[in-house]
Amino acid sequence: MSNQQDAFPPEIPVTITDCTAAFAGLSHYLDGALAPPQQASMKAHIDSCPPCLDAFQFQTGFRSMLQNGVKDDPPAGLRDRVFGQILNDPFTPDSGPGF
Amino acid sequence: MADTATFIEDTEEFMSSLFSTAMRLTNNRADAEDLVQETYLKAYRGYGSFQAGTNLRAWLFRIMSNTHINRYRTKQRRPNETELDDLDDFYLYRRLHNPGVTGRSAEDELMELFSEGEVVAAVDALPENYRMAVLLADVEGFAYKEIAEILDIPVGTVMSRLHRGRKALQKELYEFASARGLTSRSAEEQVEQHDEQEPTSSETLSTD
Ligand SMILES: [Zn+2]
Repeated sequence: MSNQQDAFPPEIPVTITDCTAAFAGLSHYLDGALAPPQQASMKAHIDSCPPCLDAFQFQTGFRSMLQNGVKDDPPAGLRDRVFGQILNDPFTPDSGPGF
Repeated sequence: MADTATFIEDTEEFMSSLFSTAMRLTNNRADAEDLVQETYLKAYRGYGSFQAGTNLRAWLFRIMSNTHINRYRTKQRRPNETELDDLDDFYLYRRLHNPGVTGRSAEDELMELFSEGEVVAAVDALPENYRMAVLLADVEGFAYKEIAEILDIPVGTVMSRLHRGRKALQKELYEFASARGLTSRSAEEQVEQHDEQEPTSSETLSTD
């Protein structure tokens, strides 16, 4: 979906062969931003290198903690208020130009 | 009215994540509700210009980001750039991770170190440009290219805001841990200490 060339970080080697390269590319790997061959060689390195796997799991755990921490359920009435406003809006999606 | 029903059907599932993000943008429940409400109204009125088949969730976040900037944005706090220069994405990993404890997931390890209130406070402390990039990437899972479109900035800027935002976030959290004295103890003591303090500390920290 996204253009990999745009997001390709030039400082990350095409083939991940050592821990230094793996650490440099780990955030981009978690972001799904590496080019497909890099993504594959990163996975191969992590799978075969316990210290890098440990770092990968920690960084993944950090994101999970962040996701859980900032999750805020919308108040019960919000959905009805939002869509009530829309149902009462004189505008219809195809009756004129957008905002 | 068929179009209205379609709009509601298509957009309803995104309200929770839009609201969570709105909370971290406004840090105020009433403002967050207003922001979501205005986002949906603008989206509804502009739905004719939405390209079917493209990313509806990203389109809604883009409208919300623009609405927030127009309505709520006040002065941008300037981040202290030099302070972040010597840090990397592994700031907490290098300082707080204890690989010696087996049978415990990294997420459990982190949740023993930080309360939910501290995570929220650390996110809120980020300069808004960084905060938005981190929320969109790490919480919402958007790709760099999508974030670039939502925020209307180049992909390179997305990457640098993300990089700096993540470092700043970890540094903020580390300061919470070191304020509690956790960083100078062994990991076993950290865990025990935190368990004992948890009920009171999370209570006081999660207000707001
Ligand atoms: Zn390695």
